[in-house]
Formats: sequence, C-alpha cells, structure tokens
Amino acid sequence: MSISQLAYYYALRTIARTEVADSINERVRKYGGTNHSGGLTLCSINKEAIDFARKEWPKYYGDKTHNGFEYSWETLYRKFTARPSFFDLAIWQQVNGERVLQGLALGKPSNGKTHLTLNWIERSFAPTYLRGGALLPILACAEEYAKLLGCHRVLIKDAVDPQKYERYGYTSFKLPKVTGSYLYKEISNDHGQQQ
Amino acid sequence: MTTANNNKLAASSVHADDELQNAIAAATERAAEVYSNGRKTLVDQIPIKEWLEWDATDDLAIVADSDGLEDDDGCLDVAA
Repeated sequence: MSISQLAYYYALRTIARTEVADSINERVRKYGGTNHSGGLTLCSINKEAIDFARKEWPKYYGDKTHNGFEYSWETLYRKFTARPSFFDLAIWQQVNGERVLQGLALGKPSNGKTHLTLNWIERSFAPTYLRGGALLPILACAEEYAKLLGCHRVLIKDAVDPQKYERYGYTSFKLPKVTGSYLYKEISNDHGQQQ
Repeated sequence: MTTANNNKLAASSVHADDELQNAIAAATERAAEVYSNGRKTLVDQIPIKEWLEWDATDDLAIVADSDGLEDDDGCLDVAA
C-alpha cells in the first residue's frame, strides 16, 4: 500500500463528500430543509467517531430499534482500511450546541472497480437522531465516490429494511452462487475508469 | 543565462518529487473530468416537492454484511 494510493483515494472520498455537502447546502439555501438536513458535517471515520459509537449509541439500543453489531466499528474500520480504495463516512450534526454522531458507513469497490458495495451502515437511535435520515447523505456520498472510481453501480449488501431504499433508486437482485441479499443501482458514469 | 547553461544547471541540481501532491493532483484531475458536465448528486435528483416534505424518521438505516469480517464477493466484478 503506497502513500500515493492512500492519498489518491482519500482525496477522492473528500471530493465526493464535498460535492454532496454542496448539493445539500444548495437545496437548503433555495428551498429550506434545515429541519431535516441542517448542521451536518460529512467526514471520514476517525477515533472520535468510533469512540462516540461505542459509548453513546448503545444507550439507545433496543429490541424495537437495533441491538448493535457483532463487531465494533473499530474492528470493522480496521478491516476496511486494508484496502486504500475503501469507502467510509461519518455523519455529525450540531444539535443544541452539541456534536452528535448520526451515522457511520463502510464499503469497498470490487477489484476491477465495476461496483462499490456498502457493507456496513448504522445510525443513531438517540432522541436527537437525524430527521432527514442517515441514508440520504450516505448513499449520495457512496454514489459520488463510485462515479469518481469509474464504477457502474452501487450495491448494498444485507440491508435490514430493503424497501426503504426504493425511494433512493435501489432494487433487489440476487447474485448467483453468493449468499446475502443485495440491492443495486446503476449510476451514470461516462468518464472511464481510473487506476 | 543561455539555454545551454540552464540545461547544465538542471542536470546537476536536485529535484524534490512530492508523492502526496501528485496523488492529490491526480484525484483533482479525475474530479474535473467526472464533473465536467456539472454535478448531479442523489440530493440534486430529489424532486423539489419531495425535498420540501422530506421525512426519513422511519428509515432504519442498518446494513450488516452477513459475511462478517470474511472477504466476500464485494471484491468480485459482476454484471448486475
């Protein structure tokens, strides 16, 4: 893993997040929407995010919502960072003067970068949870990153509530000889494939 | 200074190459290519009426790879 590979993909992820942040800001400026998408920061997963997820999120786990994953976000993050082209996102929101972690996501592109798969997503179930939902910024960032990589589609593997992804343009499909359930969306990309 | 002298100087001087800067420049160039016809993110594609009424309070937003930490098909290139 070379420093230039790490920097290249880090820069692409940053660009993807910036494009999505700009598009949300533009929408909010023109039409409003701060009630569901205001005060957000889209950034990489870091120690602060991992600590927040470990300490704060479990306080709101429950049978009617979500009981956490088998693996910690620290373990998942460490696993995914082995590929320089991995996808990550931490969504923070300023709520009543406090910085609240609203969502985390991890994914990775295929070897030939024909698709980007989202493997892990979790959102906050605290009373301060994001009313506009964590899926919109997560899927938007994943799609922009996929375009930058030259991918043709974004896949979501093992979504707990697959119907909720339909309004974002995702459809179920089955991969032959492969376990797990998938959603996919073709993305517009006429700009070739990189690296 | 003449061209010949410049060439002599270039041949004998030391150059620094910054891998980080080169990588960031390559990423920026790629972004310029992708966004040469403008930006259209998922957010941009939401109809205005839907944006104004946007409510995702019941989105569960949980994805948990059933293969856990195993390397899975995510690395395979498939035609959907």
